[in-house]
Amino acid sequence: MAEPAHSERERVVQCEQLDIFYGHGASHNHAVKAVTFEVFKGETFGLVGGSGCGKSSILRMLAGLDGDWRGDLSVLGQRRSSGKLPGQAQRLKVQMVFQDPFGSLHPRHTIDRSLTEAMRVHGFDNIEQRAVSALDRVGLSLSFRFRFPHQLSGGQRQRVAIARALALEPEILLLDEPTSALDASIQAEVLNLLMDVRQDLGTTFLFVSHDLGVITHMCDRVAVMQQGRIVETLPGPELARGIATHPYTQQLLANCFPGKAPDPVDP
Amino acid sequence: MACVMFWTPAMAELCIEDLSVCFATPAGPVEVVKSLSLRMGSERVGIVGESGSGKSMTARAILGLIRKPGSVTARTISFDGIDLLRQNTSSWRAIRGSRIGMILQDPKFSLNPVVRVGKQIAETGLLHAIFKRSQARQRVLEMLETVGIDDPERVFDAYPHQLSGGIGQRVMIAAMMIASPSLLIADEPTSALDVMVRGQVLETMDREIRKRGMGLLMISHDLNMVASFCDRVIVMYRGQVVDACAAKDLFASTHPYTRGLLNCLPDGSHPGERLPTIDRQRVEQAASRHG
Repeated sequence: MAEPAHSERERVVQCEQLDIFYGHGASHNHAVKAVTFEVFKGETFGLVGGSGCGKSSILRMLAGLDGDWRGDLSVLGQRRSSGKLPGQAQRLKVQMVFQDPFGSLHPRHTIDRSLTEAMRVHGFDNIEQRAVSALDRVGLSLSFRFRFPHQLSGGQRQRVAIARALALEPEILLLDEPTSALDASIQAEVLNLLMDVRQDLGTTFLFVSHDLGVITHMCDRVAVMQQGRIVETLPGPELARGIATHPYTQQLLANCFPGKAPDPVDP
Repeated sequence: MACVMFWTPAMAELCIEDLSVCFATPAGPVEVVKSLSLRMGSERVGIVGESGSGKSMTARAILGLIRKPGSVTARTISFDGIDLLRQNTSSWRAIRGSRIGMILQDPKFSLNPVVRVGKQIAETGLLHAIFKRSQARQRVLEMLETVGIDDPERVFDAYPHQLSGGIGQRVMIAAMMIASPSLLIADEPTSALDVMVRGQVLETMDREIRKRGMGLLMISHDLNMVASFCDRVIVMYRGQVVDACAAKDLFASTHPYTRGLLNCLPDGSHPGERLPTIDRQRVEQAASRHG
């Protein structure tokens, strides 16, 4: 894989000295502290760390869900000033898939309504056709279109959530633990789907997970976070080989791949 | 399959023979657990399988928690000589918690959101008359410390939403341990936790289980975790036990389903490549041969 040098590649997210806050007064919480990172077009950038380390906060801020932030941020070439939420045009280009496929679909809306609602908000044409092709892209048959979320399994629901995000043709897809609620076997299917999407559409992924196996499989570069700070950023393959300098990363590696059992995968 | 292999004789033994759990649906009865047999003493047994394989239903059936329209049939379900098939609501109360404890997946849903955590932990102890109300606070604080909580005072007075997932799960463990049951059923105890916390919580559980000589039935979909934590492993697929082996032999298993589950885990050794998925057809064939 010959990659162009970073300087030649287009930066889709550039983020400097980012701080994110929650709450007021006594419950004021400085969730993300002076975080600096950049994401290049078409790459998959991973954020890994324990719960509460601020990885999801970064995604939520980028998606425009949380507004209490400070820092130097530019997304898709547009500067966003501290504490501002993105405009509608940018919201369209940055879509998010949430962790919990049971909570992210409206229980009383059909799959079709969930898929088309965002398209209607953003004034798309050919909505019907787009919904059909979105379902097709994630490998769900049309018979799913008018079902309700409770009639779908977790893996199928997560496919719907991915379809909903892809239907809007985003340039950046924010993936917040997209497979952690799924079985390993279903996780493999969803990760395969995401890799197909990446290959076909060239979408940039920001991938949050606490599972180093998943992160190293999916990501070109990975930022390791601890208590609101990025402790190190390193290429995915290096992380997979266990080349980490920061003690926290080493600890994560030791917890994630504990004395790897003899690998029987390739006999 | 007949009773599953070797077992360690111990004072409290769980014996299940021919357990089936059936749900009536408009499309006819669905058997979610099919003639499962298991015998275990104070050892650590893992049940693995995908969602819907019947592993949680097995656990629920042991504790008599299958509600209508579900029905449980079995030749035997007994624990320490107690026939678990013949218990009524009040006699169950003497068994659940004090003899057999259960830890569920998500502390967010298994703790009462409007009751302070300390009170909830004390409840089990008070119910089974392990300690008096006047001692409750002290005993609960000790227990919280045992499960590795640094500031038991704060946690005692907190509400569940004020706790992180890891602390919440420790609270669950504390609530279960306080009545010292002889068997602990842990249904996905760590799957809501992140990797670092997972290790710590497992360590806590391990230490307490060893200290008290308890049996553990661990239900999980995480093969690596079960292989490193349990003595032996049972693999379930669609309500049936398809594979059973000592935990150390799990990675050498040749059953297509177990292999499939093992192979589909990404480990970063082949980044960006398609992950192998389970070949359901082959598994079905193997399962029907087995059955």
